Amino acid sequence: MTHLGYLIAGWGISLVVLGGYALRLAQRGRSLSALVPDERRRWLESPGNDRD
Amino acid sequence: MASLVVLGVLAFFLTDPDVRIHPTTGEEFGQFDAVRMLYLHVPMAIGMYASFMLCAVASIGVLVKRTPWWDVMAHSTAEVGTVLCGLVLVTGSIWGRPVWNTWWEWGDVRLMTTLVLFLLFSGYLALRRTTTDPRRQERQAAVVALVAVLDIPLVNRSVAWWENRTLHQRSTLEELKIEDLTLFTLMFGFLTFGLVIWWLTLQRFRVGWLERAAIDHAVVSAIAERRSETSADELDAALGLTDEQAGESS
Repeated sequence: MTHLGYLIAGWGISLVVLGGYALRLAQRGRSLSALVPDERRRWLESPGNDRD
Repeated sequence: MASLVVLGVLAFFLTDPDVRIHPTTGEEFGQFDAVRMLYLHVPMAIGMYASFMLCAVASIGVLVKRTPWWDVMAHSTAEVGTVLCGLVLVTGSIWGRPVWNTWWEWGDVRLMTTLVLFLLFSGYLALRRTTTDPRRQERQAAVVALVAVLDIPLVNRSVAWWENRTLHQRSTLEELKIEDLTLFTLMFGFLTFGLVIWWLTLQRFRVGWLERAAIDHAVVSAIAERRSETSADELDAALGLTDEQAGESS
């Protein structure tokens, strides 16, 4: 296979960055969940949160 | 995850490298195995466009509706789009080295418009970190996002509008240069990265929503605590009790 170093670098960097970002988001979400009461964790319904 | 593994197998083992034969000299030419970057770079670039366009729609929502939902959506899509934009620049540079014989070309319109897009949305994210009035900041950020997305048509059409000022090839899909397993693998790449980007956006939205909820909850708790302290003191004062008497009575 030609250009193997470039392929490993390109695919490797992308997968590591996306994987690291996903991990960071999951960890941050988990730690924030602990600070918020159950009824405020839902984001699909937001009664009373509109600013109008 | 399984989808990424299948994409890797398709991209690295089942698809053919780009090898063509010159009609007159008979020599081999083409991108050879470097073409396997196609299945990574192009889906991320399309995902980047989609994220920034969603950010623009959400920013209009911020300005019109002024609800937290739209603001969290705008912030989330901008962040995911910026990560993808950075990766598109990096993978494009890595792909360009064996194919164009250069890592970067400052006069190339495709590269420069993409870099400008990255910098504009980096500015957007920096603005989101400033500690000003949150409502004002939301509206300012929405305006910045709407200005920044004006660069997207320039990025996308630059290869056609300024064909002589870019090393970048014209759209592979528009010109239907690929077929069979190569086309299938690219489509599978769109599906796979689409799922990855959807998941990242959902998780980023969740984090943004929880950040707001945590701040609101902390403020409400602090106000309730302060209110209860104040009312107890006021009650003691009204009854003419000293601190010791108040302690004994409680």
